[in-house]
Amino acid sequence: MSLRKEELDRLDNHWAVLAVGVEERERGLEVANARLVAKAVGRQMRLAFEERASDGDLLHRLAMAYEMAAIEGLTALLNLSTAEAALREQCVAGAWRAFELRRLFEVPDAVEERIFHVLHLSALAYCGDRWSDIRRWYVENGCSIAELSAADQPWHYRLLFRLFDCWVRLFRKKGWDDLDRIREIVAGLREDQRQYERTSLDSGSNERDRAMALRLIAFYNWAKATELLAKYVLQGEPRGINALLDKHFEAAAEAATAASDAQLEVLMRWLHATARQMISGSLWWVAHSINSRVTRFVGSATKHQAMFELLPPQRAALQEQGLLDQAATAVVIDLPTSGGKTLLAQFRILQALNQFAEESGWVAYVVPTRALSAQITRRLRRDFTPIGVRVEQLTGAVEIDAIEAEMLSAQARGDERSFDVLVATPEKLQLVIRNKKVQRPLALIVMDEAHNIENKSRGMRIELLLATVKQESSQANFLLLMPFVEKAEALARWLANDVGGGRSISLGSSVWRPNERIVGMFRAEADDNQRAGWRLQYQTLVTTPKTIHLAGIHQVGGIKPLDLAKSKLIRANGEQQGFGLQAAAMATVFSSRGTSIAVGGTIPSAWSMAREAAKKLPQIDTPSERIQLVQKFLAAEISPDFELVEMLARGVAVHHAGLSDEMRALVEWLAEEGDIRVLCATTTLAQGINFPVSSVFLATTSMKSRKFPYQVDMAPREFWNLAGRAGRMNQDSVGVVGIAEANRPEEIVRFVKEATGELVSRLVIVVAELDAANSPDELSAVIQQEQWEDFRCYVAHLVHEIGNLERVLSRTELSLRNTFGYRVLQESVEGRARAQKLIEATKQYARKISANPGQVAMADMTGFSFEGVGRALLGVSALERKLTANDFSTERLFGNDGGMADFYGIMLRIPQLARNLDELTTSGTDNRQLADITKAWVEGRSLREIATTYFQADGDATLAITKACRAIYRNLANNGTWGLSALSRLSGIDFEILTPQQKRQIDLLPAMIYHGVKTEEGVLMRMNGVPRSIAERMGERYQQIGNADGVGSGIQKVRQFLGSADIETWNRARPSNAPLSGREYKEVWKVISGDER
Amino acid sequence: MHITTTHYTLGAAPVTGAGLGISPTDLDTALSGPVAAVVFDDAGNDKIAALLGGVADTEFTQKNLDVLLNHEREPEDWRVGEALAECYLSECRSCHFPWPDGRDERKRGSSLPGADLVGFHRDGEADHFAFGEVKTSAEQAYPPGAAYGRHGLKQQMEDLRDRREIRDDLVKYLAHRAVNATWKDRFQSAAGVYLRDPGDVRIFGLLVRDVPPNEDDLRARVNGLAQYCPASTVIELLALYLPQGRIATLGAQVMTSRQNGGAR
Repeated sequence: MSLRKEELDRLDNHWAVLAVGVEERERGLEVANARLVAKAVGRQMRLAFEERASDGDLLHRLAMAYEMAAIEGLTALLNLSTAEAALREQCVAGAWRAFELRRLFEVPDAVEERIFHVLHLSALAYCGDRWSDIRRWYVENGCSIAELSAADQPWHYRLLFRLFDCWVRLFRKKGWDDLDRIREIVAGLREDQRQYERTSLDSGSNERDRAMALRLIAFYNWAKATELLAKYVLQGEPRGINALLDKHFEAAAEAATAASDAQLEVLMRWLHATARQMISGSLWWVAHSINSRVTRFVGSATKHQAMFELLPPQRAALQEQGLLDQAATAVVIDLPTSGGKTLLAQFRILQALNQFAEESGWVAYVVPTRALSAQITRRLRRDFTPIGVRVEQLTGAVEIDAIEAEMLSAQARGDERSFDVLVATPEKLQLVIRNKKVQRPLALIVMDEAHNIENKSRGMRIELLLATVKQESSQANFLLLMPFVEKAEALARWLANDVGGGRSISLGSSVWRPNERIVGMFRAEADDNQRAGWRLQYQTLVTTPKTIHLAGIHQVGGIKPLDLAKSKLIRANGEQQGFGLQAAAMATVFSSRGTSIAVGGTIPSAWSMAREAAKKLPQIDTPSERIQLVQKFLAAEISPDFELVEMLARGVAVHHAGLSDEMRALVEWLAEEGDIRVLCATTTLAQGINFPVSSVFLATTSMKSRKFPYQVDMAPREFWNLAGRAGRMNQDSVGVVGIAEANRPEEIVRFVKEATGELVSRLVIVVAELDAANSPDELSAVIQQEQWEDFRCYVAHLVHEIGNLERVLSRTELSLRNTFGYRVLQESVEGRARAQKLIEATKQYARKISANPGQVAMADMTGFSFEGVGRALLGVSALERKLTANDFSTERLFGNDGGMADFYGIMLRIPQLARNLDELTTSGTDNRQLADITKAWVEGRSLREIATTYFQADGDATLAITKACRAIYRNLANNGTWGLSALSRLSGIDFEILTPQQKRQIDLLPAMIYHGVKTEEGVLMRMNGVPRSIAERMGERYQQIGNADGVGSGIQKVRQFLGSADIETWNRARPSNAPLSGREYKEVWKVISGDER
Repeated sequence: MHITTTHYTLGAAPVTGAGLGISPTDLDTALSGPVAAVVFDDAGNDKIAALLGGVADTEFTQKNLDVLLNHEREPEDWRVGEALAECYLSECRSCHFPWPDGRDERKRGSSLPGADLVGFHRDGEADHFAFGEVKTSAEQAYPPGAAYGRHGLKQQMEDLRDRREIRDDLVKYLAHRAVNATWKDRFQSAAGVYLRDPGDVRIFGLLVRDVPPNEDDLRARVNGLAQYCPASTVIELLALYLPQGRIATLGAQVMTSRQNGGAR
């Protein structure tokens, strides 16, 4: 059962809570919040909250009242009868609140009292479904849980101390070995019994000894239950665990009763319920009901990842809401950020693979960005490789290169499959699906961050991808993961194959949170105690997700938290300015608690924010090996004087589109490892950050947009997704989020109160544009607009797929039904009218393009629109001569003939490409220069060289490098590769008459541009995460020694080679002047590829 | 239980004291009736046998425990003194001590500080939580040594008066037992009072004596506890004076009474 807000509210009418008084209750919870926040951020922020003398007593009374409510339901928590559901909810809610208050109480000094206090608090946390909170409390209260010396203690103390130690281990779940010690501890106690038991049984009073004997019986049963519980958590055995726990805990409680040891009896009751909660939240509890793959996965996860239990929303999804119900073919999960959705997806993936085992089914895992793709691949590979499930990642390039094609098309042979799970972006998966690159059946498509369906630029593409899968892979299951979406069941119904097959698992209303959070706005305020002095103020806001609100204006840090003059932040007329710098100042102050993110509007502002933070923060005394590794990597791949190198020495980093995917992955890694104090990012990129930090500060909630008005406001859903990153689950009890007040406080107050609402299909929005179109020409004009491009591609695909115009026309409505938007339109009169127009427009467009089936086929193959293909063909025919295979040789393209420049000339005429390549061309880079940059990149010139040669920025080296990175990673890697791949298909070359080698050569070209290398081996190395500065030479080594053996696709062979290559191999491949040693290169490779060997 | 004489009274509300005399006949009646019922608990004894049997499943050995728990022995005198006190408070002072319906051992092996007696006191219409501490002493000194020291009556009474966490634990213990109990309503009523004001409780301190009555047994305690006593707390100190020299034979007398068929 996942606790909901209603149940907490209901608790307030409980007789015990009412006895405390309504006003007192409100005051008590407010005081608790203030104390929690003060405890968490008291060093960074002075709260305006004032305590009263009576507050301490009030907290005790309130905690007791909530606990009484919990106690009433404790037996119901153990008996799972439906008749007692309300009592069970009362118990969980009561324990939740009691824990909320009691965690703030002082821990007693006396050892015995401390033990009872800690165990009782931990039990409240478990029964209140807050185990992640107690783990954090343990981190914050290390002294209170320290192991106790039992030397020279009487036997009953020895037992108590040792059992305390066991339960601390059970609660903190630090790792396999830490838990496995419990077995030895209990065995040790059995050994010790003979020697020490008498020390507790010679009081001189027979009655006292009898009582002690009973107390010892309680301890022995408690010890046995502890041993059983630990074994179950580790190994999933014994299967009838609950009955055994009941027996021993009941005996322990009865023995304590007979000994009249009230406290021990009460503790046994609480720990009994706790043990049962621990079992039902255990990964094993889920595993037993499913299948062998899942069981192996759980075995591996507990052993290697110290992952033992499910978070409350995960448990609810699996055990109560039927995530793994096979009849549910489409599941939509609305889970709060950091609620652990990847694990849920993993369970569902394994179930799908099991279900499709005989047909060698595969799973597609779709992620919105390349950075996330790398992150998810690392995670899935880490967890799945040990159980023999193969995970592969497709590059972000919108073309399928020869190596990828080989892997995708490989047939399964027995148990040998080239992959089981494929991680890709929607654009890439679209190509795979539309071109039927995989012959095996698609068992499941997992769509991560599926709320992007409403994204302005990519939403329709994602919706249509799902529609295509629904249409063409009729057996496929769907799993959509998203945060903060109301009425997600509509999406589930859309995707389900049959009535009742859709399931929406909504945990948005659950009160569980990874931690508490304060959300507010900050501003700079003059402080005349210093010349040009200023300081920061913060004010919490009332928000939709009910974050903690503390009235008043709170002072943050001291005077001038950054060395900036007041005038940079406050205008002469008193208005605020320098919001990015204010965000950086907030992040700098809060960085003493852990990584803080400051989000600015643009890349240059992210850099200047980082510069100011770095000026203020002292150098790290001894930078970790990780920091040094990344510094050397940057020196090798970019330049030793790249500004980020020095910043890292101070724990400051940037994260934006001006860095390569690899650099961003390494920065994320540092942040996850706690090496980064302040991370400065841009709004766009900040949304892709899915690792937890301590605090997040935004200079603005707007994002840059390509079109007028060039700024779009972040959707509330996106903001809350980002805010959800604030607070590391096991470390921060309070995450801090701030938005710069920026002279518009009312807007911000409103913004954080806005509801996240339902997902809106982009199709539904653009269809409204058809209202004004009344003639065929007008309809045609509307759908020729840019926002309809993905829709046109979808129609082209239908036409190509169905092949016959009559059938296309007769099935138009059926095909459109596969989209979410069309279904939504059917729900209203106005919508149905629009849907009719949409059918009309679709048919009209289908008729038009059917006239040219060849061009339609090319559109479908390349991913361009029908019109884009037309322009490309025009461009090709306008060349002076007919293209041949030779024009696609590396010599011609990257040599001095200017072949590439001609191709860029054509690409700039294709709207889908020109949009992004334009960014370069309008800043003075013509197609000739694009070709030169491409050539330099493929030839292995360093980013600094490219920056110096092509991106002069008034002597600003950082800006030049930023521009070079953006040009290469964003524009060339995405559009240059897509364009070149498409042009080779549209060139008129007859691929049938080419030699396999020629074909392969042409197919590999885009990958060379994507990865910045000039050989197939280099591409293979880069695909596996080998740094570019060593890729070619490592490729040579591979060719010499590694290529011959090994199984699986080329990519897998290379991974095996890299994993087994000794340091000597890495050393030999290393350029002589490289800042990284062979060992360090291997380390970097491990981090980037997620290979933990 | 019948009290024959009130020898003296001390102090004024909220902290008072009284010396009470019990005649030999009244004592004999009590020992063969209600007191024995409190001291011996056959249902509880059956439970203990089952608990002992279950030790084997814990893989600990039960050798030492067998010897202690398998034999019914004569109760110790202080144990009977405590039962006398409980009977007195229940029968004469509107108290009710609900748990655990008479069990063999009481609060001898307690983990943390608690109280010998925990229950309710009815004051007109309202229920309050009542906590009691009992000391039995045949010592000739006034007050006896049992009134002092770390585990003495003085300290225990002060703890109950001043340390709310001790009272909280006892109240929560009652809460666990109240769930399906016949006295659930009384518990809720007392808990309501307590949650509004955790000082609003009744505390009883009893000395069971078999020496001539003397105010010195209680006077200093009454005066001491009156200092810093919260306004809502009511404290009563009572000395129960048994006929002289009777403490030493309390255990034997209850045992004999049981063997003769009393209080089964």
